[in-house]
Amino acid sequence: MTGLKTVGIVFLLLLSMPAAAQILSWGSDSKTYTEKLKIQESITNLDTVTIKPEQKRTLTVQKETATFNQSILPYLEHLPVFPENEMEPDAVWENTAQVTWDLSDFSISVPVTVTVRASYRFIEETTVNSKKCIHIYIEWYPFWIPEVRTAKKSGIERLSGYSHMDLYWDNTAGFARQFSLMENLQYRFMEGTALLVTKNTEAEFTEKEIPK
Amino acid sequence: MIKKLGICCFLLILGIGISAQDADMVGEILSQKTASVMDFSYLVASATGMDCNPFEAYTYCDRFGSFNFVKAANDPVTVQVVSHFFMNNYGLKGGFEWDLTHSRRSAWKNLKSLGFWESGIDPEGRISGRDLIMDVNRFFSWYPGIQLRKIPAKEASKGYYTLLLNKKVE
Repeated sequence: MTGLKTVGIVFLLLLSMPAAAQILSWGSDSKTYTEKLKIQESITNLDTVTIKPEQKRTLTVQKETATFNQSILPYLEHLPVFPENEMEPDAVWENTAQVTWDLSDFSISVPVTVTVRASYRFIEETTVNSKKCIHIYIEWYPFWIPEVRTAKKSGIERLSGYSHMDLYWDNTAGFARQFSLMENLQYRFMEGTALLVTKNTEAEFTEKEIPK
Repeated sequence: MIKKLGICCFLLILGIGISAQDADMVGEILSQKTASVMDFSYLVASATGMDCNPFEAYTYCDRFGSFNFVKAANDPVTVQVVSHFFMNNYGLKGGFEWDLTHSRRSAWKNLKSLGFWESGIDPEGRISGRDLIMDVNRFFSWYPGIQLRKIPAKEASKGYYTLLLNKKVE
């Protein structure tokens, strides 16, 4: 009876202990993941908002490639990036990431890549679909002013944005389980007008079953 | 508790309803060591009663031309930028230099001569979130009922709008 009590007390003590600091990292195995995306985009003109139909798509992600590029979305590279030291809730860090835009519709044939400073905050340890995950909040501000020639050709005078992501990182697998990304991008045109594109992406990752 | 009271007082001085989001956002700004152009925009837009997120506030205030065009949303807001926004967009009368140049520097000089800024303040200096809230608060206390001017803005041309509407989602 006393033994059971002791086990109970130890168990309770373990439960009440703060989460241990841990080193966050990308995994290095060769698994394949399915990334299910739900995308909702809207365009704001001066006083009107147009909501585009919701889009669903599924991507196949090779973990090795994703780890090499540190990328969970094709147009975002080096995001997330983790420091080498141990992290615990409330830890903050910064790193550079690359955002790529396809502006071919505006006669800019080569994709535009900008480097941004991404700020990270370790929010808490949590559970997603019964997997232990780390909730990390990330934000960045892309900004781009084209060269005069490109501006004249495309009509774009400036792109300015603000993006933030709630990422749920499975550190045991070394990969993302889920994220919710909100991207705001203002297109400012040479004609003196502007349009705001708001895009909300919800993603869920599952390991792909290998057929036997 | 004191912080929450301060936030509520600020929002009440601006004469706007207090939503949980307003209080959270102002709390967030309060904690910033260096306030951004977007933080300033949010306070200005809130004062007009606009219901928007901080980035929408930035895109709105960007139309007034005080952010020097090359300022990203997270660029630090300076004493000169705040001065220019206040002088230029609230119909304030200035001195000869202001009438002649409408520059950021003359806007700062003008507000300094009125005693709005302390005499030793650096015009290029960055502003903390706490100071920014106090500055905006002070402005609306100095000029109760002052209104942001209506900016003549036009809609983006149909061509650009259609391009973005039909753009393949990445």
